[in-house]
Order: sequence, then structure tokens, then C-alpha cells
Amino acid sequence: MKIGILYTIIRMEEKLIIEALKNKNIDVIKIDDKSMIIDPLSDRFKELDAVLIRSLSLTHAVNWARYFESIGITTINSFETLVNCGNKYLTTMKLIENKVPTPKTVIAFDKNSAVEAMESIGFPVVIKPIIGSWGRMIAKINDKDSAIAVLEHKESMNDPSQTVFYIQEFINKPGRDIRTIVAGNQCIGAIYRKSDNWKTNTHLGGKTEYCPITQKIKELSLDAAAAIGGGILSVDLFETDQGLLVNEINGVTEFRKSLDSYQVDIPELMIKNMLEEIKVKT
Amino acid sequence: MQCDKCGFEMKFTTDLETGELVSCYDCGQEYEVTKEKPLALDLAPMEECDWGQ
Repeated sequence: MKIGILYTIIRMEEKLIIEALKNKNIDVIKIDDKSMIIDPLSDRFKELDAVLIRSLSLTHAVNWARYFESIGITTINSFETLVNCGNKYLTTMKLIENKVPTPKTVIAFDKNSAVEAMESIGFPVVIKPIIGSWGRMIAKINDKDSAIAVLEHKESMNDPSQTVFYIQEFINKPGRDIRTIVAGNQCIGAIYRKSDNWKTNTHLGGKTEYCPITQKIKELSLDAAAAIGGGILSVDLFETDQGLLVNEINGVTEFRKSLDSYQVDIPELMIKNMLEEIKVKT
Repeated sequence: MQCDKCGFEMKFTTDLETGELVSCYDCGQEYEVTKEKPLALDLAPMEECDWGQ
């Protein structure tokens, strides 16, 4: 069997995944998403059984996934899943359409309607770029004055994507959220991400701890993954008085800063489930 | 191999592979391995706004 690994940079995650594949005597073909070109008519990848999309760049990931699918190669994750995860608005729509609980969210396209929407939801609110990761450019807005300032800054950036205002109710978390990893139809691991900051991203210094996978965590994670198109996914959950909410879903799972906290062999379980999925699809 | 940023003499003891991300031990500058043997490094690409999970 030959598996392609599409990458931007080989980080610890990719090294561990490649090692897990090689341990199963699977040939690994590395594909650099930056320097290689996509030729829709080329059959140079025809020997691959599947491609694991590990790109850092969402733009590269979705374009390459679309190409591989067009020449009949299974990608994990699929083009559909990557697109739905990469755009927070599309994620929200998929969750709502599939009745997966998620924080109240609205989209606005100009400053005045955005302020009105925030007042309607009630301050504080959270504003996020529809495309972005690692907590970048996500702001908690406590009042109308701050709202106007943030919105004016975004409008001045001359970037149309920054004036799609994704506005979400602020969830007062208990100093942590939950990150689960779903692979196929299994919830293979869960951690708490703890921080004194309201943003718990490990890129921003959030610390991780093992989280037991309760039935509710498992069910909600699998429902969220199915809603988005399935595959290997990270699902972020908020604990609230009304139960768990799905915040975001990530299409290229990162785990290097929390590997020990999962208390299971994440790369091994990812590969195991990926191979099962490939067998089903081929 | 010298770090382009701080001049530190970088030594890598493990087998590196093309595409791998490595850092200068002294200043943290990140490099991408562009060739394994002989080892060649290039400055790692800068983080883009669409990067991340």
C-alpha cells in the first residue's frame, strides 16, 4: 500500500504519522504542497491508495484535495470536510442543519448591523475571522465602544474576508474547554485545555490535561464529525450549565503539544482508523 | 552549519528528512530541510493567515 502525505512543513505530528505508517510496512510518499504543481491531467500520483492531508495552509489543502478526488484518490480528510472545517460560517451551518448544539452565532457584513447583532446577543460577545486558526484575530468584545473600535479596525484592513463579521455569544467557560479527536467512527482521545486566558489554544499557552471520554462527549463529538463530513477531526467542546456545545471543528488535527495528555497513542489510532476508512472506500 | 539569523553553529545529530522543520538551538529561527544528504536548509516559510488546524 502507498499513502501520500501532503504537507507544508514536516512537524512532529507528521513525523509520528509517517513513522506509524512505516511501522505497518506502508510506503509513504511525501508531497510538498508549496513547491509541487497541480496538473489536473497528470497521472503521476496514480499509484497512491490514499492521501493524508496534513497541510498547514487551508488554501493549499482544499485545492490539493479537490485534485486528488478528481483523479479518484481518496483523501483524508475529504475536500468537503476540509472546506466545511476551514470556514467557521460553513461549520456553524453544518452543525445547525444537523441539530448539533453550538453557541449562538450570527454573521454581519457591515459595522452598523454588526453592532446591532452584538447588542441583540448581549455583551460580551466574541468576534472571529471566518477563516483562521490558533486563536488569531479572535476578540472578546465587552461593550459597544469596543465593538465599534474593533469593527473599524477590521474595515480598515481592506480585506473582504475581515468584513464578514462572525459574531458569537461569549461562553463563560470554567477555565477550560475540551478537545476531542475523532477518527472515522471512533472518538479516540480527549483532553482539557486550561488557561487563565479566555482563549485556551495551546498556541497561546493553554495547558492540557487528560479528559475522560464520557458518553455525552463521545456522542457529541461523533455527531459533530458526521455533520461536517467525517474523517480525522479535532472537535472543541464547551461545558455549559445547559450541557456541552460544539465550538469548532478542525480538519487537520494537531496534537504535538498535548500528546501525553491524551494517554493513548494518537498517531497509531489515527492511522488504524484511516486504513479502515480507506478499505471501505476502495 | 551557521544560523542565518544569529550565527550560531547549528549541529543536528538525528537523521532529518526533506520538509522537516528544525530550529536554531540558540535563537529559535526555524528552517526547513530542503535536502538530506548533504544537509541543506532554507528559512522556514512564514506563518500565513490561513495556516492552522
